[in-house]
Amino acid sequence: MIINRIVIKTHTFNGLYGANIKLNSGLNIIRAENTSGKSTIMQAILFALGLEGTLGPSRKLPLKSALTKELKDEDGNTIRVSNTDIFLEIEHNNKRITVKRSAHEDNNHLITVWNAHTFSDNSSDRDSSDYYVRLPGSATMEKGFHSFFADFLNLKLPLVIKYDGGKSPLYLEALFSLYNVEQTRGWGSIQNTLPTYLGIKDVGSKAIEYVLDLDSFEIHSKRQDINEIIREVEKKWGEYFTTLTSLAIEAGGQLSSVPDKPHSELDGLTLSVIIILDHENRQKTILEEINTLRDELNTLQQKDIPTINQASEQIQNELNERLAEISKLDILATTAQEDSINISNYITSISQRISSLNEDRRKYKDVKRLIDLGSKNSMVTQDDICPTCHQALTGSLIEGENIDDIYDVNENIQFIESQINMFKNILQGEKVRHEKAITNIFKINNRLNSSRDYVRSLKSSLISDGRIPSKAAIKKELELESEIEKLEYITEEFSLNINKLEHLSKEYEKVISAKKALPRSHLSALDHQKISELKKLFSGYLSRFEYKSESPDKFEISDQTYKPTIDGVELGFNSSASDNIRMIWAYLYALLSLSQSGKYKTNHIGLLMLDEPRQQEAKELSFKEFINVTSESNNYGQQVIMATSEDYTKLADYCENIEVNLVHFEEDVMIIAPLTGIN
Amino acid sequence: MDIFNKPITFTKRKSPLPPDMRPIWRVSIIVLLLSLFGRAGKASEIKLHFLIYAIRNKNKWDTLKKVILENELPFDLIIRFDPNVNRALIYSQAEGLLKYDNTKNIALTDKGHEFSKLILDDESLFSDEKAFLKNFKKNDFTDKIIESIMKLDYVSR
Repeated sequence: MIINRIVIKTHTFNGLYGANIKLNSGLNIIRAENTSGKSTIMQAILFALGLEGTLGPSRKLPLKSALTKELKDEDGNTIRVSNTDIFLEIEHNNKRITVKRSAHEDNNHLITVWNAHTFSDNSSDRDSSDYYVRLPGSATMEKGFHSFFADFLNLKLPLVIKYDGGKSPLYLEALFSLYNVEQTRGWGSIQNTLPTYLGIKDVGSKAIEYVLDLDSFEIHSKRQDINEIIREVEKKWGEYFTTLTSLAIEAGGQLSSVPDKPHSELDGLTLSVIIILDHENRQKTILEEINTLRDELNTLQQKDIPTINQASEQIQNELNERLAEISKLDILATTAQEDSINISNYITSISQRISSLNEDRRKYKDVKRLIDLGSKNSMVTQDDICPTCHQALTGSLIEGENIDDIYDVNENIQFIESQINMFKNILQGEKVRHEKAITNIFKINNRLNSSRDYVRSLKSSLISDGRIPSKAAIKKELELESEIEKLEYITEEFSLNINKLEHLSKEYEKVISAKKALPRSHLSALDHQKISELKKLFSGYLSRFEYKSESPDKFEISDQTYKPTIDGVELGFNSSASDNIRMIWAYLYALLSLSQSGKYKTNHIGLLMLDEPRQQEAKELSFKEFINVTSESNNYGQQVIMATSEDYTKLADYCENIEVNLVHFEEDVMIIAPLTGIN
Repeated sequence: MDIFNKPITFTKRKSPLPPDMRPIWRVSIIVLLLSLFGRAGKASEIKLHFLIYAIRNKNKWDTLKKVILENELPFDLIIRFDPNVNRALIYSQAEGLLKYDNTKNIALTDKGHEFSKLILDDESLFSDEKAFLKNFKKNDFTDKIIESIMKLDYVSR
């Protein structure tokens, strides 16, 4: 891809400002002071392509305020900016387009594309298409700019795995980590600014894999897919296995010789795999069991079930016996009932007697006390002496009673108490008798009930149709039928599932052999060649750039990260700052130049953008060499754009005899200046 | 068998006596009733008969309560004039516990009052009777009321 022109149109209240810079294939150096907006051009290019995402997750526009708010003119006056449009004329494979993007906050999701260079070619073709950018779908949907742009560049953005397990396209933002080095943070290391916020797994190495068009990219992808299929197979297998186990249990048996994990040779699984233990604990297959049950059923159906007619005489005899028994029991029941009532009555009368005896005793206790009191009250009645004539009294108010005939008070009390005792004992005995009587009644009633029940069933047998078979025989037949039906159903289901399992096993076989077919190392032979060539180029450039920290030959290209390592370690700390920069020069240009020999095909878009590659560190000599090397890109239709604030005289000197497009902005000249001659 | 030539002997055993046939019991209950329900220890003979009849039998207590306090018809209360009460009254009079005044009422003497005090003070004496009698006031046994009960009529106050 070649950027042929960049036009910045800044609309201000003081007229049109901006820049119009023609670029060529090969090396382009934009030389300007730091303060004059040198980085503006690089940022504008990224912006116009909708690639500000390569710098980080921020949604802020990466444009200086000079393009968005206010700029300073050459006199130092501040001029308000209303809007900036950025145009890029891009060429690839003989296709020419112009893209335009506005920096205005209302408009900056829109990129307009013309099918011609609208500034350079005075073509009358003014047809344009609009695409959206920096919105979801811009890399996948037809109307998304990156989708269009990838197409334009003949790139097919592959799907890669994200950390959350989902898939996403390998966005252009990721690839540009190898095509663009930003001034402030880009020079820390190779791929120092990576859009890790995209959540893509191993985004750095994936980008390099793709750019180098390594087979390992494919291989990785395939391996991932195969693993996913294997997981699916395992899951399904587990489900089928569970189903089969349940069916076996339902049949009253168990599975045998069915593997619980995916297995590739599963042919010839038959229904012999359900083993049932019959009632003699012998092992049988389900089919054998079904057959056995069928035989039983047949035998049963052929035999006649005994009818009632055949049993009727016996039933009649039994009936007569039972009826006699019931009569006896009835009489017993009545007697028992009377007994119980009698005892109950007796108990009541005894209780009353006891109660009244208690009362008498209480009163006698009072009498005793009264005798005491009477004496205290100088009375004689209590002593059974007549108060008038002082003769002995009978001691009773009842006429005719002789005192000798009556117990005295103490005797009477004793008498009462012995009476109470006696009756209490009788009561106790009667209560026990009563309980026994109740139990007896209960027992007799129970026997009566069950006898009556049995008589009822005997009678009903006698009066029902003599041809009716006995219940038990019918039940047995039904049970057998139902069991056979169940086992047959299970057999069917089992067959279905075994079939599915067999298919699954074939699928498993396929996927396992596919996995085996994958190269052991994820790198193909061609990959190894490419990497080896990359290493050669890289080491070569390191030498030319006078890399000093290590001997350039010691470097290897890691086959995991594809970045330069020594003894498996990526350097960053051990080299000096300037050597670090040299390493970045060497690596990025090695990527670019790998396809130059024509021997190896890559997906590199042939563009390298470097903002301030000299930084402040590198020695002048190696910068000259860097310019030298990168200018060779012109021979291969590739483009390197550098922005630097290097001293112009020195720069001019480096560029002598070299094919380079040096765009020079003199001191005190702003890059964003009043525009003239732009339509 | 030679049972007819053998001598037959009888042994006289003593008999028990209901407690309320003991003179002292009746005498005491008379004194108690007079002090509780007589007007200053005075009451008619009828009243006394009635009260003694009522108090003697625990089985009648519920009925009495219902008749006097809840105005039920006194079907179950059939009062007899008990000769034993009369004899007890004679003893009481002979002991000097009470006397008959001109209007044929019976009144407690001082000795009678003293005796009643002794009876009342002793908590263990006549405890059930006392508890029962607590349900009634002197007004519950006016001559009028007793008359209506005798007539098997509703108690009229």
